[in-house]
Amino acid sequence: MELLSVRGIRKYFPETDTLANDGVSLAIKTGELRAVVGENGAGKSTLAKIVGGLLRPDSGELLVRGRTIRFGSVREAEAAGIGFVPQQSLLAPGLTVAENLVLGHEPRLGGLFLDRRRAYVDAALLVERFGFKLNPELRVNELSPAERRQAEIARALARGGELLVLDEPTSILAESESESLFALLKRLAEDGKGILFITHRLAEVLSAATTITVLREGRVVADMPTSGCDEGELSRLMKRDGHSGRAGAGAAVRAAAPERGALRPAGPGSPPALEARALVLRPGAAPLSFALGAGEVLGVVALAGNGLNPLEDALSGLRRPRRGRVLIGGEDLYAIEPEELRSRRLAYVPSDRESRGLCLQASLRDNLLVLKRRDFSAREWLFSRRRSEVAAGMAVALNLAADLRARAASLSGGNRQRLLLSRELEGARSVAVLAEPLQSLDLEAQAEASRQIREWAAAGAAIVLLSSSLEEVFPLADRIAVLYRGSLVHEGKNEGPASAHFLLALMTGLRTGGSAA
Amino acid sequence: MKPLSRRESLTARIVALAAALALAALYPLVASHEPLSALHAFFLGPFSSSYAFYSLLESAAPLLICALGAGLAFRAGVFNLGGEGQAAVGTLAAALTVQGLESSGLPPALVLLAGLLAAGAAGSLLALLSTAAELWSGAEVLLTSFLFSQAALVAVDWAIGGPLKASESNLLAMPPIPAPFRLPRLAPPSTLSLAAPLALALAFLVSLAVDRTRSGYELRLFGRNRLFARASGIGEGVGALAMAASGALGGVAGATLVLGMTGRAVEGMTGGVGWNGLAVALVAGSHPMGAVPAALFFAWLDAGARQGSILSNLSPDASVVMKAVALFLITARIGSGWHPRRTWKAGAPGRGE
Repeated sequence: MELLSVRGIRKYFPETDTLANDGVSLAIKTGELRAVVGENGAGKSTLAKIVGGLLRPDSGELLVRGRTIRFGSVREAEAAGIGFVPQQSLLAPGLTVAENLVLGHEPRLGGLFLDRRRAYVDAALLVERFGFKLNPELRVNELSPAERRQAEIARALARGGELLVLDEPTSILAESESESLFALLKRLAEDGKGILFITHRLAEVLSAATTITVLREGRVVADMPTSGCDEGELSRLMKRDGHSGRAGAGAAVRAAAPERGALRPAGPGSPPALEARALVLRPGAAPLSFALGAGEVLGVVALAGNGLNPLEDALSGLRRPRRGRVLIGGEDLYAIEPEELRSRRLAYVPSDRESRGLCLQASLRDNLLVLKRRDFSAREWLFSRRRSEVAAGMAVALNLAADLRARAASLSGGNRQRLLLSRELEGARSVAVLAEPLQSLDLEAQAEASRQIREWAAAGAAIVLLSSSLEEVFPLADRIAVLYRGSLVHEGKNEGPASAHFLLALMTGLRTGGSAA
Repeated sequence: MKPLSRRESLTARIVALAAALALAALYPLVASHEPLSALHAFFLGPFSSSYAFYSLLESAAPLLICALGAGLAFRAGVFNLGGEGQAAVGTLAAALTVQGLESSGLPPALVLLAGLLAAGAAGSLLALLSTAAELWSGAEVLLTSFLFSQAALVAVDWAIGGPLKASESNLLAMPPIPAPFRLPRLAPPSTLSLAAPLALALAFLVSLAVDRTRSGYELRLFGRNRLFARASGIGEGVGALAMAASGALGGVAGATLVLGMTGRAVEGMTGGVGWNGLAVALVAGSHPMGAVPAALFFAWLDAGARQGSILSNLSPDASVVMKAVALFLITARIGSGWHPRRTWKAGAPGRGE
């Protein structure tokens, strides 16, 4: 039976002058697992938000079980059985999973008090029925990202969701976590639910989805069953015709990268570009040390919760580690004035881009120029012309066709990341800390970013890649280190995908050290 | 709530002010035996004579300067609730400085300038106490700025009514400041002085500083997203700078009361100018130039209530009710867009692990 039918959706965003959806139509039947794929800015998230009731389109129709529903109302979407699972969690962190599940629809005792027991029983039944790996009594802030995602899904189901819309459900999950998430989604589909999910991990699409919708520049360019489809075909479909846009951008990025040697690679006997000396990331963890020379890329991998975030904080100068030191060119990183550190010495792409990497409420121009703020004279601050020119130049290099006075919040997730990478990998900064740099980028943007990173290293920069995904690290790193429970359990040469099994065992604690051989 | 665009926000504010006035007009109708004459006196009284109008302008000046200070702190995401105390120490510092330099033989203009600067410095120091407390112990600026300010108010009143009191006077006040050392009167016999153009100039300067300087840029980013600011190498110094400037403006506002309107430091003379300035800043969305009409509006309500009480039988407190209505309507309408964001406490970025 047809659960949802979307007909001729059109949505234009005047702030960025983009036609995000241009006559999009698709349908979902019960038991269907439909993937929506496309490049950054193809209109995937817009479509999901429209179906979820978060956005109102300019025109088009939305039918649930043949009945038209009104757009732009989450309540109405929920009442019609559409559950939206956003990219960023909307759960109340201080409440338990069960309390979150009933939030807004609390079972009452005597019409007044929360019937706590019933809330827990209901939650337990739901968890049991669909095989969630979730303890309803835990508070949301105690959950891992994967468990939070499950809780979000459970909440959508608890509200009577027959059709689940998931916006990039796996973007913050490790690989094994993604697999179990899709196993859960498959069970839900077998139970008669319909599922619409957005992703740009094509491997996921091919293994999990039953049908695929490919979006390109706001239009549906393909609607097909997964069987008989392969990755090559999908990425060909996703790419823009003639492949014009990004090719130019790539050239500009190459032009912006400094000449080889411009960063003055360290001579013999000089201190390492970046050194961690006996860092203690959490109480009880073994002190951790590593050093990087100019032109070296070190990949540090770990599953969520094993110390990647504290390491990121320590290396980026945001939080002095409990014990130990971070040296940049032999100098204590925490003794360098923050402005000097960030504008001249250290490039930093945070894992938490939305709050650390960008100021979403500020204009794109303000976001682009944040590391160049000392380059302008008082006069250039007073009269904005040169600032606008510089920002416009950066936007052109990025191939970003948006009004720079618009808020950064108007950018799509992938474009936010592209902006960040190109802002950071520029200028004389010789050390880079990049956390999950390829996350939320589509294939082509990933290739472009990888090229940028490799060129930056070739020009003499020392780069630390912090990642929970081995796939992200293998093509880029010279060496790979593994963190487990806050301690460094392995460091060695990058031996490529062949060593994946060994590294995964270290990351999950199945192995405690040694070598691949 | 969705943030409003600049134009939407401006429209919303004007509509809210108009609604506030309409509601305010109801007040004399119920609170007065002769509502029509009360209404007339209230709304048009301040414009009935050039004397009344100039006095309105003069009383708007300290209000505007306080609002600039409060708004500047808001823009940096800092809640400075100490405007009242900062203005009070400003009055004292200005009076003492001018008194001390009166017979020094310096040109009066220089003495006057020294008085204004001393007032700014005093307000600034009082505000910075809160920043220092935050850095040392993590105490909330919101709380400490209020507490330090209350303590300063008591101390200033004690000093003016006690050891510094003019012995020949029955007033709880310091000796009057000789005319050459006061801000020049622009339209005698009204109290309108150089304070009004000074306030306007300050509004323009603060506006430039916030929108068109590097420090202003850092301050705005710091106010909008402290974590982003820190990750971009913008240090806590920006918050301290905002607090210092905010306190300095409060102090200068106090000085304009002493050196302009009254010509002497009197006990309790700040009379809520700090709190009203805070309300003006909220109404203006912390926008420096927006504070100009907002301050005039508040001063108009005050002057109207005074006129209403003199010419009719309206309570002089009527303006309090009307200001409250205006503030309520405006803040209820707008939840974001201008709202000072206090998302993170100073110190380490919080993230679970």
